[in-house]
Amino acid sequence: MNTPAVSLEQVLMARQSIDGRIIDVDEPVVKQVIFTLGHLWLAFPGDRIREILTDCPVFSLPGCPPTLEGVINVRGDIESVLHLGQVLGVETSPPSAKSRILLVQGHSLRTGVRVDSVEDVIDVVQGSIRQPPHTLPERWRPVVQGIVEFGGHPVTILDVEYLFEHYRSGLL
Amino acid sequence: MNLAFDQSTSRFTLVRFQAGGRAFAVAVDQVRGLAARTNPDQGQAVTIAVETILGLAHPDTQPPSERRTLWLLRSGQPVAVEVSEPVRLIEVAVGHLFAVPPLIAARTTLKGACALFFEADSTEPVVLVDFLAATGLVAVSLTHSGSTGNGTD
Repeated sequence: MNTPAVSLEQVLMARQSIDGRIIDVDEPVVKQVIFTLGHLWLAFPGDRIREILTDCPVFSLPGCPPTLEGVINVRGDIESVLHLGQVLGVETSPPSAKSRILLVQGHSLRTGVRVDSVEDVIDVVQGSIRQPPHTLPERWRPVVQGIVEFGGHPVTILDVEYLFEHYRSGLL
Repeated sequence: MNLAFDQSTSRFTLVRFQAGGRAFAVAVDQVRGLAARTNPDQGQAVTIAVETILGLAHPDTQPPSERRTLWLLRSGQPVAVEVSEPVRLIEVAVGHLFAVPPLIAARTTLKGACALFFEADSTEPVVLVDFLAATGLVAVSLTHSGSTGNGTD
């Protein structure tokens, strides 16, 4: 067998330089639950999602605004259901087999959140989360934590605390 | 709100009624009596539609024959509250009562809602209301504090 012209180390170094970017495997990752709402791709931090509910009947209550669908019974616990599309002013798809209710835990409250579909649960390297663009509409800015890429879509990560507390206070 | 609470069976006694086409209940302690619908023309007492007290947008469309009068006591004054049939006494196990979820408590226009429960034969939640906490009743009863009326126990 002929002696190779280059060593293994040289090949690996060359490969690394071609790849260009060095990935720090120790960089923290955060889980994100990616979902759709109308034409938007959105995400909630995974540590805030208690459960993803399918086919869960929602019971309306008198006096609720359109942003609140009603209540659900989750194994004996009664939870509210927030219609996120109504809250954010996004036109959503009619309920379908893909519709889901995310059971989202905030610091001081928990609620179901209606979404059009759940697309994936992924680990995102913290450093890859971009700041929201300056072109983001004023109304959206405080509620957006950052932007990540997923499947060719820009995914907007929502701030659960801001959303819940401002909704509770009637500011959303 | 005080609830008639039977410790031996861990059940609350409530008066269930309809209002605005939805199911509600009130602790039996807050009700002094039940009577046929008070005729406003007879000048017996001021009668308040329960939908007004609870802040429901739409009044009940039930005919007068389907309405009953609950007699409540507010600051020592009897207050007649008109509700819709069916009106009946029910018992609810402690474990079947749920607090109103915080987002709903914060954003609902319903006044005095304090708990929810489900009846065995229905999927519609029944809202337990506290008439004493319902601001509509406070305002109306103060306005008509000079009115008189007799409860029928």
